Amino acid sequence: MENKKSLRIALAGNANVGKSVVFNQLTGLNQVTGNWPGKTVERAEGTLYYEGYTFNVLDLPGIYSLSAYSLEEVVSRDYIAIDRPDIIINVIDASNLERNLYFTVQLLELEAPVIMACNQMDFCSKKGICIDLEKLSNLLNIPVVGTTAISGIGISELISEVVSIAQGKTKIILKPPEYGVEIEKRIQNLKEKIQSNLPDLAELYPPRWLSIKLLEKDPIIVEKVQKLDNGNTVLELANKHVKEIEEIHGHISSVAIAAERYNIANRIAQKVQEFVKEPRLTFEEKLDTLTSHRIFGYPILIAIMAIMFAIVFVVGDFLIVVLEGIFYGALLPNLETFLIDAGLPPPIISIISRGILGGIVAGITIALPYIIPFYIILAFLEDTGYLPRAAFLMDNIMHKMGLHGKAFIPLILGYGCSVPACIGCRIMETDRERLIAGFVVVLIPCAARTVVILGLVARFVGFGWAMGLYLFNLILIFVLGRIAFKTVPGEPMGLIMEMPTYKRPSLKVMLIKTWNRSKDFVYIAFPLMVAGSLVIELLRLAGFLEIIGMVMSPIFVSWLGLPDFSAIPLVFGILRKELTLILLADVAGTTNFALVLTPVQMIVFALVSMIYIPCIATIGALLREYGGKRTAIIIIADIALAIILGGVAFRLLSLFL
Amino acid sequence: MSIRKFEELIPCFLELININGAKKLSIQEMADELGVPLSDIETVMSVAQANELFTNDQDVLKITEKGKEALRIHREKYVHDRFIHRKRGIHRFLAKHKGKNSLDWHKHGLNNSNISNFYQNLEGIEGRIEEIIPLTQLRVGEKGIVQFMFGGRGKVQRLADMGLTPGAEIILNKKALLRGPIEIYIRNSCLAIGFGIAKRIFVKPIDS
Repeated sequence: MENKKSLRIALAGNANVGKSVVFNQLTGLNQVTGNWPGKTVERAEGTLYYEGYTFNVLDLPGIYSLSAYSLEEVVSRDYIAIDRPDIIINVIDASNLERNLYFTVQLLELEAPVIMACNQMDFCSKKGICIDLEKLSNLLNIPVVGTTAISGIGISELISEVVSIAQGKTKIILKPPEYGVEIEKRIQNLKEKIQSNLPDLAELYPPRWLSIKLLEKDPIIVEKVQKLDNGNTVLELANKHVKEIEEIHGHISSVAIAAERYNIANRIAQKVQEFVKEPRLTFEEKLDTLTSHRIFGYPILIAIMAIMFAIVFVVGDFLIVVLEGIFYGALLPNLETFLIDAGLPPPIISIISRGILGGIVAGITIALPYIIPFYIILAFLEDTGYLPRAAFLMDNIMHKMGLHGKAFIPLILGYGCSVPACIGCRIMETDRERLIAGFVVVLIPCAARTVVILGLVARFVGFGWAMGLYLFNLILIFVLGRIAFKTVPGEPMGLIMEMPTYKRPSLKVMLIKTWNRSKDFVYIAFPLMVAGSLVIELLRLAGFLEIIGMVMSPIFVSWLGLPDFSAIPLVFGILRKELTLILLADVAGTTNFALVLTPVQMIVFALVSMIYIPCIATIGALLREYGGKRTAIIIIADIALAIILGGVAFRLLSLFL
Repeated sequence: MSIRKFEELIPCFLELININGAKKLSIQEMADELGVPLSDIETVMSVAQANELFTNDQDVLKITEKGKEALRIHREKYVHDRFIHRKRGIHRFLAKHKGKNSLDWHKHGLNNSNISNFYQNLEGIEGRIEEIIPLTQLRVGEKGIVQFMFGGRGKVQRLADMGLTPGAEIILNKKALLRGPIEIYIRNSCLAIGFGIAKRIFVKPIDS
């Protein structure tokens, strides 16, 4: 390679091997990490400056193969083959060599310049496996670096390896491993045919790789070849060879080739790894047996969810009392007297103190106390590896909604924020499942809606009622999911998921993750809160508030039984869901909601804001993932549902409360 | 011996010859293996030989092309009736008494192009078809060897990419409640597989 100053690097490898951790270490960015397969659904890009070099690093989604049967795989292989990054760092899980090498073999087949980062070396030695990295490097003909990315070990060696390739000191030999003689003979045969008949295509993709793909009957490559002039002569030879391979192996050619590839991976793995001692994983194994137990797993799952909300509520409630004491007891009154002393006219004082500061203070005192503990617990669940267990347990129930267990992961993430959950629905394999999952995921009460439910219902009506709302929400999701399953045409897919081992989460990583998510929340939500408070304050001063209340009163007062001032917060809640509560405090003039709302009204208010349109950011995510028409249907369905259920709830609850 | 039992015994006998290849097998051994009296085996042998299903060259039994065809039909019917399209209740009764039981493969995702692959899979089974079970019927902690996956190209490829290739050794780790997913240990790591997929992965149990 010539001495270039700017290089493109791609991180590729199986799901859940630590690509994103390596990425974060290289670029200093904060790509989401966790212990479950499928976190990285979008390509993330970052830059690393080192000794005068600029490295543009790309984090590809985790895949197990480069076949044509999933979108991520096709995108990744086209990126590697056509865009040709200067270096590919193949991140592998050292404790799971065979499966990871299967992917490495495919990368080598693509004749890509590969460096291997043998990651999770610490975990590997915990499992009692010793790996001979030098031997591995010799067998694969590529540089291999051992890393423990989570604690930053081996990252500098990885970078210097990249630099030495950039400087041309290390030459990468493109020599893909060979198959068994029966298949290899036919690959070579076909390769010659491709080189002489399809020179253009052989320019774009490596000819040996093309022959393998034709022997695998890869639909995309076969179609490409078919379109070309001499394509049919090549396909004829390919089909002849496919028949021969199938006769020899007794299985379809692509499976026979996969088996051969696994043989190569197995052979290499056997040569380089040694089981030196018994694995020290008894605790993790016990935990796994218990949490995914066919009977005890379910009460544990329910208990974890209940404890999660209880902790969020107790911690949040405590923080709210403390913060309210500070802000409303001391800061705000002092500030107001200070402003009056400064001689400002009353309307301006009211705009500053109630509009601008009111929004910020309400955000700090009402929203953050619930959101931060919530994010910490979510990070804990993500990093330990509990989420795949929950997916395993819920597979059965999710099938009733035409989804499979994996969809439970975005569903739980939805309790954090609907936007990543919505994008996270991409871990589902087909378009149809993504749609159903996206539809139900936005109905999950996100952290912002949790603020409303806990801050209003749990604090002023009772924790049991708040839990009741969550339970009702789950039942609603199940019913709606089932309806969607029956209406959206298509065949349901099944679950295939790698189960990661439990890992002890690092407190530092969890806190950093919480910090980043909270930061995003503050940056996006606080300006909206201030703007919202400001607009409402201006409307109030201009006397429009009553008019809006009157216009909306048929729905809000007559049907939902809410006071007329509650219309504004609910409408503004489109911007951010917790705004409904914060603006409610604004229009009511107090954060002690018991003074202005009856228990029934609080429950109805929380129910409506829980179900109706997801916030603007979620609408944006929906638009991007599903397009305008489907988004519109989801929005209209949600609004109608919220209004209908709110009215019904008002009438039913009035009988009891 | 009833006719029904007789009809069932011929393919079992052919299976036995098929796996043992050119190995000499005494009638007593075969009777033990199949759990039937010696006289039954003798009758079956004479009928099968009369129908040219196998040849007997100095006590070395060898299956003929015709025998192979009979074997394939038996295997196909066995897999279909037992695992793919298991008839229950009234349908089972009707199927039994209407006599002819059609093999409706197109209903189960097989078309003309991949049915020949399926036949190849059946031929490639190591051992008797009666030993083959779907992954879901393996007991927890039991070991098995993957024989073949039943389904369209994409599904089979996905499984193969995850390491479920014919010949791969697996251990069943866990089964969830009812028709829930299963967890298997394969190639040094754990995989969760939904029931619907697992019941179409066929394995041969082995003693651990």
